Amino acid sequence: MEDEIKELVIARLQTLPDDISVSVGADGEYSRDQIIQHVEEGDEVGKKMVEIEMNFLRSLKEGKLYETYGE
Amino acid sequence: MGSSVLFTRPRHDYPTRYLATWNDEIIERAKEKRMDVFDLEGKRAKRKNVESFLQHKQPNLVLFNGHGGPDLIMGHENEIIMRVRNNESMLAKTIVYALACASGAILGPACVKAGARAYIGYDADFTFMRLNNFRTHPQDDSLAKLFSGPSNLIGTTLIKGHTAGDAYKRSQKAFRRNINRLISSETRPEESATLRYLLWDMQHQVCLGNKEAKIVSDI
Repeated sequence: MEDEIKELVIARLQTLPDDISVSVGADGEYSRDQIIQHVEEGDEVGKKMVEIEMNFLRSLKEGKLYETYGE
Repeated sequence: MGSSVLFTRPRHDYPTRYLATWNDEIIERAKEKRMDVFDLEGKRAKRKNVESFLQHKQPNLVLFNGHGGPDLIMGHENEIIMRVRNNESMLAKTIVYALACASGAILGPACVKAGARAYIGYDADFTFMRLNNFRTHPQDDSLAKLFSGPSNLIGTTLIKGHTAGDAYKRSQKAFRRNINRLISSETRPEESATLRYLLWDMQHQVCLGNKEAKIVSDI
């Protein structure tokens, strides 16, 4: 299951543009390829990125992405 | 005595340079309102300076910008400038907005317990996306504006004299507006990619303490 989630997250991250950086946590910021590497290695940064991706997918599934404010 | 606001704005890496630049707008608004502005920018964002200004100037509003963790906020070169069981009592009687990772989880509640009137922050990492080509002129980065807009509404709303609860609601609405616009209209791939991070930030933004607190006296 964990490997399946990792594969799913990496597939999603590969759709990120290559001219961006993502700032996350006190450690700094990461390019798309660096994020993917962290997810592959399963370190702390990788775990955070998995959490963010899974939160997005869960919100999509539960309809939270489309809520209006206050609902 | 008039209202006053203290900013910490380290600039030692690209993320902190972005946050520092976002705050230019809030500083402008504060000056327009004739507030006293104490701006600890760059190398001045040090713990001894923060503590000195809190002690001697007693600002009504404190806007921290920088890296952070659940129980701390950092300044220039990631020096810890505020930490639980250390110096959070210095924020008593202030309203705080911490644009820093995760400090709303432990530091925020501790500040409120120690007498801070309200604490707005994030109980998990604050994340944002930026375009690499704009790293030297963050004010023009259209991608980062999707994050700075909702964040800046905290400071500008408080400076206008509204409550902490209002500031939080306006920021939440702005996050939601950006998310809805990205979902419902044709956007560039890099804009759509921000959705996961905007949703995360919106869901992890917290308003602790007295939601009726405001910096301008009702009298």
